[in-house]
Amino acid sequence: MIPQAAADPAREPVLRENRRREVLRLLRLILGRGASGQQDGAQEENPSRASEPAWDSMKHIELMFLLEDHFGVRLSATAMEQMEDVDGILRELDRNLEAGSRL
Amino acid sequence: MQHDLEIDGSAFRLRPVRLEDAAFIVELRSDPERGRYLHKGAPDAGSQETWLRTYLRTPGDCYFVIENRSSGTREGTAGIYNIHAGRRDAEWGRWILRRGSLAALESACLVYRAGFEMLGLESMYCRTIAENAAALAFHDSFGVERIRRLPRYFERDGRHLDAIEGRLTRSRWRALRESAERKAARAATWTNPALAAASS
Repeated sequence: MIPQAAADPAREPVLRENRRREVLRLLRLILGRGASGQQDGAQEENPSRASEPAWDSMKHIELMFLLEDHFGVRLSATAMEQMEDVDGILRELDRNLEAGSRL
Repeated sequence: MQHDLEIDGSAFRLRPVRLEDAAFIVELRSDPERGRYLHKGAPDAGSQETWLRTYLRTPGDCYFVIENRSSGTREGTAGIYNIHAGRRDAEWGRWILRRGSLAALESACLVYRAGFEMLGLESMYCRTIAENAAALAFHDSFGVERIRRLPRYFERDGRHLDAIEGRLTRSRWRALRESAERKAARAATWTNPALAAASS
C-alpha cells in the first residue's frame, strides 16, 4: 500500500504544515491555553519541554495519548525520547505515518 | 530502614533499595540535569553504601528503587520518610528518574499506593524547590494541593531556596487514583508493547 502522504508529493508540504498546526493546537489544549489570542501555529517557534515549564511529565503523557488518538498511530518508548519539542514530535509522526504503522 | 515493601504497577515496580544499588544511585544523582535540584549526594559508590547502611538503621524511612518489570532495568529512586505515626503522615521525595524514563506517572502512583495502602498513611506531602517548575507542574497536574511556601527551606550550593509544600490526602488519592492509574496503564504499553497486545 502506498502511504497517503507519498501519493501526491506536491501535497506533502501542505500535509506537513497542517500536521504542525494540529500538533500545536493539541499542545495548547494540553497546556490549558485557549486558541484565541495565540499566534498561528505556522508562525510559532518550536515549543519544547525545556522552554515550557508547564509541559511536565504528566502533560507529556497526555499529549502522547492525544497524538496517538488524533493521528491514529502507535508510539514507542524509543520514539518518545525524540519527542521533546514540536519539531521532534513532527519528525516522529512523519516517520510513523510514512511507515504506515497506523493503529 | 530495612523494609520489605514491594509494589507492582503495569510496567514498573517499587522495591526496597539494596546496598548493591549504591553505584546506580551515585550515577543517577550525578546527572547534572536530573540531579540539579537534589542535595549533593555521596560522591562515589563506597560513600553511598555507607549512607545506605545508616539509612537501613533509620526508622520511618523507606527508600525504593523504581524498576522496569519486564527488563529489570533500574529506572530511578523514590522514598517515603519522616513517617509520623501519630499524625499518620509522611514526606515523599528522593524521586529521580534516569533521563528518558517513562516511569514518572506510574512511579508516583506506586509511591502513593505504598503510602496509603501499605503504610496506612492519611496524608503524604512533598517539598519541592520553588524554582523547580517542571516538578511543581507535575504535582499540580497530578492533583496535589499546594499547601504553603517554606522560605529558605533548602540550601543548594550556598543558595537558600524556598520550597513549596504539596499534600495529598487519602480521600483525595481515592478520587484521583482511577484516572491516574488508567493513564499509567496506557503509558505502560509504550514501555512494554506486549501489554498492548494482551489488552487488545
